[in-house]
Amino acid sequence: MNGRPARVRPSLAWLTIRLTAVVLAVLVLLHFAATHLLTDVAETDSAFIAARWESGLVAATDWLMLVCAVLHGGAGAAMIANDYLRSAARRAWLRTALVIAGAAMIGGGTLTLLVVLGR
Amino acid sequence: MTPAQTAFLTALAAILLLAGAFGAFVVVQARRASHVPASSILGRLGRPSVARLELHRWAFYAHRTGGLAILGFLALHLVDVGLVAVSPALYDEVHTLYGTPALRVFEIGLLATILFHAFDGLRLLVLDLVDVGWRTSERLLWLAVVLTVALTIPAAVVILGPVLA
Repeated sequence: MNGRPARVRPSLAWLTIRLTAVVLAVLVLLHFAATHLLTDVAETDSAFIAARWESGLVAATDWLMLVCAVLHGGAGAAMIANDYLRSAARRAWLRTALVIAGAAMIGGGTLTLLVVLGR
Repeated sequence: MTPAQTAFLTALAAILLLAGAFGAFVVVQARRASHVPASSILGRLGRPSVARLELHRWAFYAHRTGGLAILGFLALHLVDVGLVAVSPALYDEVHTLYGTPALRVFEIGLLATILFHAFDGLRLLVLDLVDVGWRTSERLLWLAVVLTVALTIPAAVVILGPVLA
């Protein structure tokens, strides 16, 4: 590499990916360990979920993981789209689709959590 | 096989196929952009490590492809966990698939993908914050690969344990 690149303002997607990455590196691995290693996956049935979310801390942490994961994946997908889509119109379309899909994922996940917590 | 189970497996197969196709697309696009014919990949790999950044290229392909694959699984996973809100019995019906030998193998692959994406992502975070140079970057990349393998193997034993016994 020749010299330092010019200082550029980091994009919102770039910043989102890195901030959420730190949270996800911990939460996702703990989530996988809890549902596959500490408990056998065959035993993570609906009763397991209900018992798991009885702890407010676990429910809140799972919700944080959901939001971070969707933001991280959405921002990553937007950066991928910017790399391969040349036309500004297509990028705008894809970004709109990603915002809708992301909102559906966070909304759906939140609804699942609220319904189970309300039982 | 119930209709819900068939739908789940069909969606999972579609996600895996799309991820594979996307991976091929990423490699082709990157090779095209850098004017490197795909046929010379082996030749490039054979060069001494100081003369190449080939490992970094493959880390990029794996990071990007794995990232999109994980996002695809997340979308499906939110739907399958969402079934518990609709009907716990329906959730349990689909969820029994997760315990089958085939899905356990998939889960091991998912773990390896997540672990590499996490460790390689942390390496990229370090590179953003500190100017360590590419030599250290390559060592960190090897560390990410070693950690991924070292953690996946014992986890695979635990995950496959109930079906091997």
